[in-house]
Amino acid sequence: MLLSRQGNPPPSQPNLIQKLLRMLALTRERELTCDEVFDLMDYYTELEQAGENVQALMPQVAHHLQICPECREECEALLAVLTANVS
Amino acid sequence: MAPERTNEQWISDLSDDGAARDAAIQYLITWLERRLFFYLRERSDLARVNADELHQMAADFAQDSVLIIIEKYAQFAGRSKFTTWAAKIAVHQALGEMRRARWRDLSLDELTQNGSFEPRFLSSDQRSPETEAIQKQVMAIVMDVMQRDLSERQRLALYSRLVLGVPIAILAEQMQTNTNALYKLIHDGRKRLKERLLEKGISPEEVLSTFR
Ligand SMILES: [Zn+2]
Repeated sequence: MLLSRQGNPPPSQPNLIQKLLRMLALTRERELTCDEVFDLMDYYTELEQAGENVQALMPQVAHHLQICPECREECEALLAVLTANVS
Repeated sequence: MAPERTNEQWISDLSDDGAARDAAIQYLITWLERRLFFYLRERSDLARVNADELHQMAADFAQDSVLIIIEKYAQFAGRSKFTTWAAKIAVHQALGEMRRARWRDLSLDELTQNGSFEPRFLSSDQRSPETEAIQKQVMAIVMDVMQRDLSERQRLALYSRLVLGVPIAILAEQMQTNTNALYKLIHDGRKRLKERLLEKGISPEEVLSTFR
């Protein structure tokens, strides 16, 4: 694998309180886990691709994507892969 | 180009023990490889990787993913197109491998080596004296609640995710658990933290507004 090592990002980022508070503001009693979101991600992304209002149709998935950077990244990647202009 | 397979054709071709299966697998590898290449090429963190290397990465990811897809296609629930489901597996596999490569030197032991782990969240981002005072006060309460009401594992997990940005799968491995259990551990920690703040009359939304 040809990936370069980038090391761990430094822990002293600015705005950490903001990050934490934003996370707490988004925190809900019931949340889907990453595994639950993964199960629905193909369906969710197809709806998004079709221009549907995914926030309204699958609010719990949309909410998890606001909280979880990895699932968000995977969802964006999936959309990019599906819409790739490879002809 | 041959017409697209329906979901049923995908399953029946992959269940075949002859040429239909080989053709389906080959189609899938090529289909994924081309799309993964397109995606990798657009990633800013891979901007310095040349096209040959990106092609090789895409080929490796496609191969690895198809092995997983062959193993798991019986679990395909049919909620989406089969290729969308396959692409989901491939993206998960590719990004998982890239994250593992990026974080391979992570050691949580360094964080906890002085016995007990004490996270530091204080921001250096200073505004007016009043907002600074409010934020300092809130931070003091947050730190206090973290120490009193969260377990050491919850503190470590929250800090690693939020401050260091450790991906959940990597952190789960390091903490010898799975992503599902780890998500719940962090979620419980967030809920407890929010609850305690609200009890003290502090709403995260309101404090956030003092930052703007
Ligand atoms: Zn997630």
